[in-house]
Amino acid sequence: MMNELAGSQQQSQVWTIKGLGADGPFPELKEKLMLFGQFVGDWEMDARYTQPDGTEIKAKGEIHFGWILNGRGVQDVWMSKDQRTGRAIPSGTTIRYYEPKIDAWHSIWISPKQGIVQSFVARKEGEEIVLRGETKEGYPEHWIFSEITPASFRWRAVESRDKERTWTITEEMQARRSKP
Amino acid sequence: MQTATEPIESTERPMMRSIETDGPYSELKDKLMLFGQFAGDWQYESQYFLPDGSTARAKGEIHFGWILGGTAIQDVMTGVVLNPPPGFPRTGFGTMVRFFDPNIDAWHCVWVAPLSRVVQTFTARIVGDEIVLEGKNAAGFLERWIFSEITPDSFHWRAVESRDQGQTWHLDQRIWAVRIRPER
Repeated sequence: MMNELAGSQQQSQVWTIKGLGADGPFPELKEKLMLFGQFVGDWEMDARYTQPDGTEIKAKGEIHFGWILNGRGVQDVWMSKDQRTGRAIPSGTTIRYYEPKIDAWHSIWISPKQGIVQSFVARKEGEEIVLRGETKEGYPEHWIFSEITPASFRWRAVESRDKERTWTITEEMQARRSKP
Repeated sequence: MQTATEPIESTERPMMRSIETDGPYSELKDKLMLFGQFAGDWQYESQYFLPDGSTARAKGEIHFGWILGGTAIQDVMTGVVLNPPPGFPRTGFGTMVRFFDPNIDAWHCVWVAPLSRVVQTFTARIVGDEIVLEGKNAAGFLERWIFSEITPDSFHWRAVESRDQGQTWHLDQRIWAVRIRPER
């Protein structure tokens, strides 16, 4: 237990909120924690969104992942690039932690821009990481990381409006690690 | 609607710093200062009131900061329980993210505490001179987390729970916090 507390005193230099950041995974759970820990670092992405009328929007953005809470969790932030100015505008953050009791992750997406808080339970399924939750309207929604390599991954959001018979991709993106 | 002077992050800042910001998003500044007033570092002493009538004491720190271009406030709380009863955790930590939702003129708050396996959402508003976060706990009972006696350098906080739809409330925990001033 004292280790826990000592760990909380350590501060990763990359956070300004004291006590939030951590340098690496909580050692006893390292293997499990690396499911999302593998993404720690900085990413650039190209995204495609399908609008309700079927038209597609293309966007660029950034994702940043870091260890938090003594290395028991991983927090990320998603940013979209303003096409006109090129500035990165934060769209939301995910806080997630591994829970040994259910051998899965709790993952909470918080977006002031969208005005939503969305909870998912995440597990490794085959070669993919699947986050299971519900849309604002109550339809099943999955967020899926796939084609994961040390330097790239694909991500897609799918939802089903017919009791999980068919799934529609609502958003997808291709991410690559930012060059230092 | 957005002006050129908003505290939106540039892309040059490295790593996770890119989610952190020095101050509130200017368009909503007045509203955002409800929790923005807590930005900074605090130390606290706390008392738990357990169901069997016994109490436990704890002390620790809370750190608040702006994130997401000044549109949200995140805090992290760490503490150690000084006289834990059997089965009571010796240490605790967690983080809360809060953002203001203009559509409901209130705040959405999410508390995440891995060790106690809690994810809990609240809606927060000013009630009189207190800030009241209201939500439901894992057992489905009404819970309120209330900030009161707020000054620039101190506040009191209490958690209360109701098992009869808000008719009576039980005090679960209280906290006295004081701002940590940089040493001269």
